[in-house]
Amino acid sequence: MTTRLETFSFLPPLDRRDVRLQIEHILAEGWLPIVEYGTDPTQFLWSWWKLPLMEATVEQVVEEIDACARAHPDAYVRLVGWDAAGGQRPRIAFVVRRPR
Amino acid sequence: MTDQRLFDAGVKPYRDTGYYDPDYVPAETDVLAAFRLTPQPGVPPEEAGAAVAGESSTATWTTVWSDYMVDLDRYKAKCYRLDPVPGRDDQYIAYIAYDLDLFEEGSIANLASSIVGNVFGFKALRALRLEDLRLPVAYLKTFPGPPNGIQVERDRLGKYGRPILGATIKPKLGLSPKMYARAVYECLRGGLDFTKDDENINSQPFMRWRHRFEFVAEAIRKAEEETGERKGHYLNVTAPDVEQMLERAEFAKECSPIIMVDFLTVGFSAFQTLSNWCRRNGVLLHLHRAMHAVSTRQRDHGIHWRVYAKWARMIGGDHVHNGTVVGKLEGDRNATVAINDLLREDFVPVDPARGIYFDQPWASIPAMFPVASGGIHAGQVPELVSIFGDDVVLQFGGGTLGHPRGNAAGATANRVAVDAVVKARNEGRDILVDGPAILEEAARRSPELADALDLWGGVTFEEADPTNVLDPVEVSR
Repeated sequence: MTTRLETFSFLPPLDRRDVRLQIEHILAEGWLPIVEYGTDPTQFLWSWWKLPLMEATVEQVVEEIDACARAHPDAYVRLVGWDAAGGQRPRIAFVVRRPR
Repeated sequence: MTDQRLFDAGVKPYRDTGYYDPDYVPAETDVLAAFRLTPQPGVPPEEAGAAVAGESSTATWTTVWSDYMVDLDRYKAKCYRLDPVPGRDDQYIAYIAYDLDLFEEGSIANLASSIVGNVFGFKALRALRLEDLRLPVAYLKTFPGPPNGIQVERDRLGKYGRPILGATIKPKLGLSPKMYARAVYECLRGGLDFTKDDENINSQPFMRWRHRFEFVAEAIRKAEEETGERKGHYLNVTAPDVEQMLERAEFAKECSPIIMVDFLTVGFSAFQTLSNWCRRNGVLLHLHRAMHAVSTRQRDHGIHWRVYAKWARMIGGDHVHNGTVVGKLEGDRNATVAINDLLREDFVPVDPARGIYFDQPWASIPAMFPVASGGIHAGQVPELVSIFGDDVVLQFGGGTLGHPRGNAAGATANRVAVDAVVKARNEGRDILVDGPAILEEAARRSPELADALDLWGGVTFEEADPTNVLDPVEVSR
């Protein structure tokens, strides 16, 4: 049986270009990127990789995702787009890396 | 005024008694109503408007002595504006203002009994429709609103950035509890977030409520274990009386994170009791609007759905059915989209082209999910996402269960379609133009979606329905 991982998990795993385009979308919407990781994807609270990435560029977000995945090779890495102005809530969250 | 005059029995025109007052400036705290009036031939619109104001507030058909014991100028509703309806020489929109103190705090039952209580049977009117209500912030602050709201529901479910997917289990009636739960399980393991009891699944001889709840709980648990995703089934707790409704709710909270009620057939007070219970127990509440079209569909008479939608948000549900625009049920596109806003936004500005008669601030009341359900399928996902955005529950009933390879394949087809369309939209593609290409692309990797598109790709429901359209904003002559 498949373990599903919510948004985009019914598509083939996102490649680097796919992830970049989603990061561009998050930044264009004015949402704050948050990189988080966890070994049990069914838990609600995942650990944060650093603080939310204020004023980050697409390049920097990509670097942080890579750094998080290197530091936690056994974990899932998830990218969240936090909307402070439009309801103080995540407007998107999806898994960008799976455990090696 | 002499005593003789004061106690003269007789019928006074309402407009002469202050119920029609074009100079009245509504207060911020007034409840405002927009009624569509069709007076009987020969009845002037001012009289008809004043009659509605009078009968929905302080007046009776004659003067009574006790009128003189009251500050009637305060408690009188005032018809302060009359607009002819473009293209209809027999119809007017009457704007009526009600003082805040005419209504009990936090009571839709009281608000409804006041504003739509007696006036609809009035002989001076051929027809009457309540088009919209402006609820002032002061009054809204006495209502609790949705037990959870969109933000908390998404956090409880861990689902972000896409529409929530559901399906109503069919056939509506007759399945045994275990076979019913089988159908639920197949949908959930295939990828749906929720499944749903239909409005008339309560506790019939073929499937008693407790048996259904027990087997469905097992279906949810098993699907969650297998997928790692949070799942739920709207267990319908509509019951013969409020005691039994609450008994079912108590049992349901151990079975599913979400329950449902037919909020109109149980009545506003029963609905409010259940909403309060959901708030106390951390349970999500889905609302089915069974019976609404009895009063919402006819353009000239009844209550517009947007008014019920406002009441649903004030009392408090987390989901409520709204139109699909593209599906099998009626609903003007502009009106439906505007009602999505009324359910989800903090402020909705007046907009006659969308049937919004008043600015409506929502104060502290959380947002609720509109539910699009009825005759929709995977091939329509680009249009549905474009119309509704992410904060919607899309319910594919036939569009899941009717899949040639069964419920799980149907559910997977829908999830693939939604993921593909949302991803493409976020990448900046025009999903209305590229929609078919985006779906075909995704279907190359998903035989489930390919089958769904083959079967339903061309199905649309586009019969024009003139029954309940909005007025033209202006009529060109």
